[in-house]
Amino acid sequence: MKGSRPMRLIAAPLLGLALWLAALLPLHAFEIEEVAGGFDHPWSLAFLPEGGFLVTERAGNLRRVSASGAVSPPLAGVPPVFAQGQGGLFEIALAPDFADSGTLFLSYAYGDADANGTALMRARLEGDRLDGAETIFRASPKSGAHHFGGRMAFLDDGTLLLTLGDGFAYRENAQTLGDHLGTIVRLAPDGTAPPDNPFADTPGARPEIWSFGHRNVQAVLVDPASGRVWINEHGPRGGDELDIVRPGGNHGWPLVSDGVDYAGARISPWGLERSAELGLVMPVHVWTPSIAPAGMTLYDGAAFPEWRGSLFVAALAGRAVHRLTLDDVRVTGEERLFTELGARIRDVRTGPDGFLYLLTDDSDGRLLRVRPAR
Amino acid sequence: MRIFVAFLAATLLTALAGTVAQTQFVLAALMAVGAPVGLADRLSMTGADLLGFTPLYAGLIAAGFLVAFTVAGLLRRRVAVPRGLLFAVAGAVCIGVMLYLMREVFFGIPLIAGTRTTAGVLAQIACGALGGAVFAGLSAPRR
Repeated sequence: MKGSRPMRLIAAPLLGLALWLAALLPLHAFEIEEVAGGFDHPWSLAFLPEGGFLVTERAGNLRRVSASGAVSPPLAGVPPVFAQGQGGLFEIALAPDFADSGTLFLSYAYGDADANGTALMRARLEGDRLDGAETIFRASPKSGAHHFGGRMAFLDDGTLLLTLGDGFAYRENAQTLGDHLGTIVRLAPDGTAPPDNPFADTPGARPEIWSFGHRNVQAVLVDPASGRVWINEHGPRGGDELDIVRPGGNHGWPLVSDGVDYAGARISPWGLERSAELGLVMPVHVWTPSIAPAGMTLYDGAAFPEWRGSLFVAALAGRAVHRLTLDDVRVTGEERLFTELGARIRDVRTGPDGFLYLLTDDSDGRLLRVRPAR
Repeated sequence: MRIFVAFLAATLLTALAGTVAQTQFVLAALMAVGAPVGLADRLSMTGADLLGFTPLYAGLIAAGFLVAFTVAGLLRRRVAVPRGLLFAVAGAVCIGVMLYLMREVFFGIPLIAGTRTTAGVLAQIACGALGGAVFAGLSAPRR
């Protein structure tokens, strides 16, 4: 460079700094816009192939949202749900062949305060109503109104994973196979247990069980590239987890946890470090204090190239979306996004347009779109 | 002053005994599903609960005993019941009501896992009775 030596000593680093800042600035330049609002505790989101969305409200409604954000009245044909506490209408999942068949699945809480649990309904979307609705699976009942799980994902072979919970007061039942409490079940599209389920031939075990030792699983997704199944679940006070699940795995609740009971008492004599010794699956990542993870997506869109391969985890109590960078099965970094909303985030999904979509958990909940800044 | 010391002793005793009891019930439930709990595990978890749970429990019990023993003291003049029995019943009822209210206020969630069974609740109530009896004994007027 021309100029005196002192000038060169200053100019070069300044130029380097300017270039570095220029590269850094567009990194997270996004804007958040509202697609639609006025939802009563929206829980789950599905993208319609022709554009637009389906949104569930926990109180028991399924609504259509047009691409421009017009919200329909509740669709007819949705089952009555047990909408108390954490119970209600949960996840909407479109069958892999939805574009041809119109088949969709809804998870929800059935029953009453004395005997309730998580159920799965299959139906066909016909315009503004559901036809041919039938309940194809009911998890074993419990009392109370907490810890239902309720998220769904499809495996490559067309079977469906449905996450459940331990019903809070029955946490030891997460370790037993004679009921569905504290498990993830794998079902055929008709709700029956596939014969190759890990406990299909175990005497006394429910054949639907795919993995167990869970507390309240609030997300499940399948990585299409690797086939890996990722979940997150709520710990008690502390101990929220991100896990990779394999058939037959025991995820340890309540034998080990990084959390303690809400009143401060221990869950068990052991911490997560004893997992291997006790034959339990270690989590990939733990959040203590709790963030209350909810919906989750593995981003593979084109709109945010720097976010490809990251896991986005909605957080309720944490009022954010956590972006986790991954190196195979290790979490290499974590950042909290969208905290400016100050909202409990119930769901985060990757849209077909490569944008991120969020649902806020509120009596006046919103469907939000995250897009690159224009 | 004597009453204050008696109150403190009763609260601490009930909180400590109650903690130890609730931990054993939690361990029993874990062992029922096959958890390999040994003596060292039992001791370490009981110790951890004494540190992590007793302070909160003692605070709740103190608030409850304040009401219960005051009421019992007022009833003392009207009811011909031995002092020890009266305060033991007060302590027992106090804990029973406290556990019931906690479950009602927290949406049916049993916050104290060791009280999910009837036996677990009865154990806590017994600790409350013990605290009441201790209070009666230590606060008795000297002749």
